[in-house]
Amino acid sequence: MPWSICSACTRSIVKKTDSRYDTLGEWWLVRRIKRTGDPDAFGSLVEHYQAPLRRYLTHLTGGDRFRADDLAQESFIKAFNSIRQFSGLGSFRAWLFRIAYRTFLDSRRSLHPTVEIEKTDPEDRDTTEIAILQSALACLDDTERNVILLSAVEQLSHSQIAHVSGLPLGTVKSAVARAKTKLRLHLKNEEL
Amino acid sequence: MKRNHTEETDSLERLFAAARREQVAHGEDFSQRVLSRLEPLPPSKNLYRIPTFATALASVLLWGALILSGFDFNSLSDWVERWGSIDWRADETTFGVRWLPTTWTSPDRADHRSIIAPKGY
Repeated sequence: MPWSICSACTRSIVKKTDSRYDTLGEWWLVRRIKRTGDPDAFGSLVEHYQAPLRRYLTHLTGGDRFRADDLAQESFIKAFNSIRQFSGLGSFRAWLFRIAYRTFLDSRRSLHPTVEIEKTDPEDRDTTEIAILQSALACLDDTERNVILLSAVEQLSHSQIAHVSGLPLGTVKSAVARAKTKLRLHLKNEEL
Repeated sequence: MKRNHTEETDSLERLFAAARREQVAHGEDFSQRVLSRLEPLPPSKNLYRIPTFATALASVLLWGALILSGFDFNSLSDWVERWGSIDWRADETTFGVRWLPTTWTSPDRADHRSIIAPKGY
């Protein structure tokens, strides 16, 4: 539990141990934030989770990095303000992704209620494969896109995805299978 | 091994693998921006601490008061002796197990008639 030693050195420790993430350390860190509201401790969590969260939101928003960063920022602030509601029994990662997904849905409802995600042009993208994936993801609805990203890219378990999306476990499994079928069909049609 | 094999053969899995490998630019300024927007949390409301402390304090004060008032703790052993001699049996007539004397004898009564304990007590 290296994170519980002192709040000042948490950041450097997280950077050192970034390759093998310390779950117990994370538990102590969350506990510290809940008790004292230590922003440095929360900074360590932000450092660790900002990359996967921004990547997830980038895919969810159809490749809009600026919007994804805004949503990620908002999600982290919401997580900090409501951290005392986190029981500590489940996965912090799943809890954070749940907040991010809700934030995404809220922004979609309030700002862009009718705008559908547009297909991106592969020529404008740095990586062709990711651009193809973005294009394929655009054929899915919000729920399917969310579950397939969490499952195949962020590699969350089905039960964690059920927690994030608020769907029953069976629905998650069928949504993942349905999304894969749709994506395969889309890719097949694109190849033809 | 299986995943690698699948990635090689399945174009969709190859796309997912590329997405997993995608590097998001490490946002030092992103973290700073988030931290600068955080507002201090209100103090933790651990209300359970107050009754816990009050109970502990009350029990300590009670023991202290008993000792200072010269309470005879040996009288407790007489009490145990008196009540320990009663035939205790489990009352299984109601839900749960209650340890009660099957008969109660009133010392005030001259005829020493037994009083049957009512059900449920």
